[in-house]
Amino acid sequence: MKEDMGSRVLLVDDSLAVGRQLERILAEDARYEVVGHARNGAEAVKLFAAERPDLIVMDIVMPVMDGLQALRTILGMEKTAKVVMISSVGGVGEKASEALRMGAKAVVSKPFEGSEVLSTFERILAEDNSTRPEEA
Amino acid sequence: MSVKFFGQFLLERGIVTRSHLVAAIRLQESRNLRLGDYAVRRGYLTEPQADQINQAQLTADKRFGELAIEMGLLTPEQVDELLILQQNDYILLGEALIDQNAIERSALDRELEAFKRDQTRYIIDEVVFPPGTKEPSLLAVPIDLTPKMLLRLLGIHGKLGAGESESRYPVERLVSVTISFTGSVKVDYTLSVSRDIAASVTEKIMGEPPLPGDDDVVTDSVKELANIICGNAAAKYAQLGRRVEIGPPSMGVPNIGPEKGFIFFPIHVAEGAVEVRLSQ
Repeated sequence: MKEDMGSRVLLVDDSLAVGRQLERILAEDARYEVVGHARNGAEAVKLFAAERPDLIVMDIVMPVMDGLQALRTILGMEKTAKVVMISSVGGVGEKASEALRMGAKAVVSKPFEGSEVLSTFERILAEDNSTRPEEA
Repeated sequence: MSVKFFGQFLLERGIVTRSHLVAAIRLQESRNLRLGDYAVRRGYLTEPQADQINQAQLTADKRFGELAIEMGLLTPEQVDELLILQQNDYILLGEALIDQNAIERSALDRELEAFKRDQTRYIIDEVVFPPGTKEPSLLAVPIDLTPKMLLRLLGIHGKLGAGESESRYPVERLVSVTISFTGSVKVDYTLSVSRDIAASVTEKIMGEPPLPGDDDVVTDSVKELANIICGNAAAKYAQLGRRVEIGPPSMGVPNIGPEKGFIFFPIHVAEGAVEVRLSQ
């Protein structure tokens, strides 16, 4: 068990390649520790319950249980969970809006660059929950 | 580097905050009602009748008013009246953001111009379809985006060939991935690429070349490329007012019956082979 490793991140993407890309981006930054990699929404919910990570990075379109369903379940388990959705359909107003409305902290479009992902994480982790009373 | 909706563009550029955007979207939702809602409010339709028309829309690519007239539930005059009511109430995202004091008018105008410039890269060029193809302008969206995304993501210049009707499957050495579009555009999109191209995709996505034996990662990367192309296509459909969903990518090519064929598009590239097939 690693300690004092900074923010614990759970990756959720059915793509091995995207998972590896995210792992590589986070491995280069000592502020993050990847605590798990789920391949669908159902696995994400299980790993979330077991690990209680500081941040969840989750694809929207996935088999078994999609990202929006998993987002709803995770926020039902922990209202203040910090979830960033990443998606090739991030550009679709409806999906992106729905994810944000449901409580996702941000939607990052694929393909993404490491710097874009890290600055998004940094911004979200810096947000103090107590300053966000509008989050229902 | 993708087709976006305006709110996401503003959010990514740090022009508006997430909570302002959500508030603006909520305002839009309260103002931008569906035609059926107006019909129920005016007493022209009951809720079950409006639901019946919404259900019919799932299988017919027609507008609500058009179907309501066909089904004998509304008159053309009533539809015209409802459309005017709907148009009067309609609020665009930019206006909703101004209403929420999230942005000044001058900044909105400047950002709208920047957004249009960003999105001109995704204007659809002419795609040639075989004679008799139904709704070619809609089917053209993912086809047109394929060489554009190859260039933007991988730096590969490809020339899109004319579409042909054919029933040949891709040769086995190509990696093929299929994604289904559902909703108001129903089509299966299959992207087939040679191993060299697949390896370039992997390198782009992972930031390092694939290792020998990394076949799963390589095929996964092609799935991701197809996902990005189709995701952008879905976003383009949304901009065109079409509600389209995409499913998860699957390996291989749809099994088409002998009477049905593909619409096949070659994309001529120097680095390997790229083919796209559409099937319905």
